Amino acid sequence: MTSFDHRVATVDTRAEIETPENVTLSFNVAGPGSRMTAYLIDLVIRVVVFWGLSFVVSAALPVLGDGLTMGGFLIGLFVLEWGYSTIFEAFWRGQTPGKRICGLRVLKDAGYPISFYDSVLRNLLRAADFLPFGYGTGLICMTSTRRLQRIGDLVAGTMVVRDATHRFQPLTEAFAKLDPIQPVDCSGTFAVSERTLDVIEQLLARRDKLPKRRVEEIAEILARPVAAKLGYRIDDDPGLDRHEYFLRRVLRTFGMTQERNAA
Amino acid sequence: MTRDQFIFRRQRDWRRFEILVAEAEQQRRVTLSGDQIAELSALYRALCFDLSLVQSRDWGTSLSRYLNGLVARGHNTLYRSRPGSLLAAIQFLMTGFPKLLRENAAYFLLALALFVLPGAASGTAVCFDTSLASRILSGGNQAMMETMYSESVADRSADDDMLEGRSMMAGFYVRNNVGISFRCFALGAFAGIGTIVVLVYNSVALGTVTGFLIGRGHGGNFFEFVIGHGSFELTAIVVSGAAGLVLGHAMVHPGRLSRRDALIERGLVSVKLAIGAAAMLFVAALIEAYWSPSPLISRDVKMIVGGLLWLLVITWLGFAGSTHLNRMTSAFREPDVRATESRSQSSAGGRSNAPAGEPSA
Repeated sequence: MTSFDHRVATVDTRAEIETPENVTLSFNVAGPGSRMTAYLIDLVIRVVVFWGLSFVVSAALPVLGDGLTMGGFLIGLFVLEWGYSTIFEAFWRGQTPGKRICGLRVLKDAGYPISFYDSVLRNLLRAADFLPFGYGTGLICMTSTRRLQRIGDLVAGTMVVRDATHRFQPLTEAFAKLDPIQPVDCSGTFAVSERTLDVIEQLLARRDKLPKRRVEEIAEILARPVAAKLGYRIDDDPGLDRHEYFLRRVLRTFGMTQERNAA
Repeated sequence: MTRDQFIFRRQRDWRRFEILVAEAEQQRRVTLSGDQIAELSALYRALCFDLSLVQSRDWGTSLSRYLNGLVARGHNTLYRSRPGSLLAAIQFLMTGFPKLLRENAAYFLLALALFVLPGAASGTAVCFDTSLASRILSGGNQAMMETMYSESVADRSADDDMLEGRSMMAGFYVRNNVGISFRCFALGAFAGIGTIVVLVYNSVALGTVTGFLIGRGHGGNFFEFVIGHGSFELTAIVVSGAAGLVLGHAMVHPGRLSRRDALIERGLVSVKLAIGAAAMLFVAALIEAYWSPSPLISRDVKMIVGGLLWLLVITWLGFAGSTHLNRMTSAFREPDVRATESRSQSSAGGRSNAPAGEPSA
């Protein structure tokens, strides 16, 4: 059971959980948009399976006879209607194919995987969340709970989170080859705070996802105050991406320790 | 220690942890050796420390996200619930489910009243004045009912025995009846009102049909058909009603718990009851499809077997897994054995998903 959160609730979709080790873990709770997308993908898959099933049935009719084939078909429909999400979420670590494609996962609200019963519960209650139509109740319930839970989630004690696995690239050899900024080139304080380094790192981590010129634009905004504090003249550097280059060198100079430099 | 030194020193452990946790995530049944598990849990604890260090020193968003992700995966792996087994499922149905139902007998009795009384009232009325049936059943339906039950199933010729259609009906009964019972349960989330509506609606419909057929003198043929599967089917509907009422009650009156906690606690109970009801409906569907309509079995046999099935359901739900019964049968055994037995049973019935103090792997 989760302990009540006494801090001021921030307006974001982060769920914080304290583990038994007294560490605060944070999860990114998924909103209606991505969950609806996952639902639609699952719906498409179910429709395709339904077509496949009908095809198999029409092929099997003359062989197995009406009764057996139709009986099997109806059972198949039942499983598709009630069992699809339940079985996937229970036995596929809280994911349906749609959720997997959208990078979502169902977890207990204490941050561990759901059990079979949790999966059955949250998926049976879709019948209640669906009313009056198109998950209306579920949507209202989601907008009024901090962890964006529909009724099924509330009762089962589950939440749907973004399954983000953040890659972390420690400064690599490529960085080591960059020229460090020399104290003689700087007229100001020869130091950069770790927070600033963090911001630089975040920008550089995104550089492949942004257009080159946009990176340089943002880099310039970031580089100017840093350079001013250092007393370093960027304008003397060559190249169109000199601000980005400068930031990389800052990271190289202040982000890597002497110990590493020696190694 | 600076951030870079910290990363430089710790990243080898993080990599190792990533490998181990990925392996543990792969299988449902963990194939890691004892040493590896010990290593994993040691690394996990160190990782937790790393994360809190990074968080307290503000050492970078990407680093803390990365470690957060790793700790989350470790948390997920180490605290996951015991994987279920077929044996546990069978054990649940044989003893756990009846016990749970008895613990919630009040809900069952309330659901029973809601399912029996309206139907009994409408059935009695229709029985004495069958013209009243038209308020519930359409004329077409009435005629269909009458032709269906105008003769005993046993009187039909074996040629009419539509063995072909039976499997289809089995599929139909599963889909239809289990669907109804699931809905009956789920709609309990609306303060129990949905459940009550489903129970009363079905009660009146069934009561009317029964009263109509008795009034027209086809009662014998009707009971001959329904007595067998009725044992499981009707009881299961009441059970799913009880499950919905458990849910609705937790929502309306959470008692000493917060509403959220009450829902979670009672929700687990209610879903177990709903699963039990679904299992009963599977059995009922098989009986209804293959046994009840068979012309090869005489009315007397059906009545006797039907009665025995009712007795079976009542005995099972009323006594299976009863510690009272255990005490009677185990009077000859060592007293110590009895004590440990009942203790292990009660712990097995507890919440399966509570985080264990130790890794369950």
